[in-house]
Amino acid sequence: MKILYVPWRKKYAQDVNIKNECAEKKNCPFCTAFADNNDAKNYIIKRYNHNVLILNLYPYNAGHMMVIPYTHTSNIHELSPEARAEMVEIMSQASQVAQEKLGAHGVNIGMNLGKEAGAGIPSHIHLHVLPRWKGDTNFMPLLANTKTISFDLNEIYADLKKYF
Amino acid sequence: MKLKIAFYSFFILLHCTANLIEKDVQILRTPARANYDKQKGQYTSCPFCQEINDDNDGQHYIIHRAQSFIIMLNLYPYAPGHMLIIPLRHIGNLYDLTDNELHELAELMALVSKACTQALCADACNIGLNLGKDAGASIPEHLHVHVVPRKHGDTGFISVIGNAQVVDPNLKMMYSVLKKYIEGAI
Repeated sequence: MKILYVPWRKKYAQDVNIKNECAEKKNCPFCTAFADNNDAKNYIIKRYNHNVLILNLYPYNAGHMMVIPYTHTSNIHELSPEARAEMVEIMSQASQVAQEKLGAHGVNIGMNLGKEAGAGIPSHIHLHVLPRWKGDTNFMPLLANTKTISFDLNEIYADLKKYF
Repeated sequence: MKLKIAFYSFFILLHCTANLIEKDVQILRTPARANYDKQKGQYTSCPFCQEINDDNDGQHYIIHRAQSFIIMLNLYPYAPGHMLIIPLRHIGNLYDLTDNELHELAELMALVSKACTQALCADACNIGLNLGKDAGASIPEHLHVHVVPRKHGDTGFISVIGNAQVVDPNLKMMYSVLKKYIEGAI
């Protein structure tokens, strides 16, 4: 198994309040960010009709984006067909930006639907778009306990905003 | 022989070290994929195109043919009922799909995730795409969306410590259950 080591997620993992209390819409970190009108503070890259493209604050890798519908639901089949279609369109566009603009060698796209599938915030679905580079799981994170990550959240936010 | 032993010890060492570093990683054991791993990269032509162009859907475990995609069982599943949504066209990038194809994909993803919980009684599911070799795709030339049904405890002690996975290996059963559900739902 290849391990993508993400020590900075520790804060997120320890924040049990986020994970346990978000079942209700008022405690949902995504709904809170969408209701706030400070998109830069929340790293919202773009607002679409039914979805929001946002940077993951606890990224697995540089440029880790998420496509999240406004609707607070745990199932894709509970979204309207329009919201679903838009979600998949944004996913396609984000994968293209990751490859062509950020120079990623590959991209992982995924949704963990439900707690048993590993979702941290299962009550509000979110689609991950994760740029991947050759060697991003090489000996450094595996043996030297160090993951090199050459980006700054604010810089990559400013950069990505240009492409959407 | 010595080289082989050295290679395996290195691998085991690497594996143990990796486990020490990141204890939170859950391991979904997939011993049935050993055969697949051996033949990986030895294809002379695209296996998906072969299966799509052949007209023996039952033999290839093709559950459903939509307008631009097929839904089939993964013959080397990560978990029972592991399905793939594959475009009929041989393309490797998401952005090569037309808007109509993307919209159909959205509907199929919703349908299949519903099938996981309703037809297979899964508790959750993972949907994922690996785009490119560097993201872990073994057939990067032809897009495929993975849909993996998950059950509570499928990474529990039996699989993690007992070196075994509780799997119903009956692909035929999974095939008929899913086919019945999906055909009924469309």
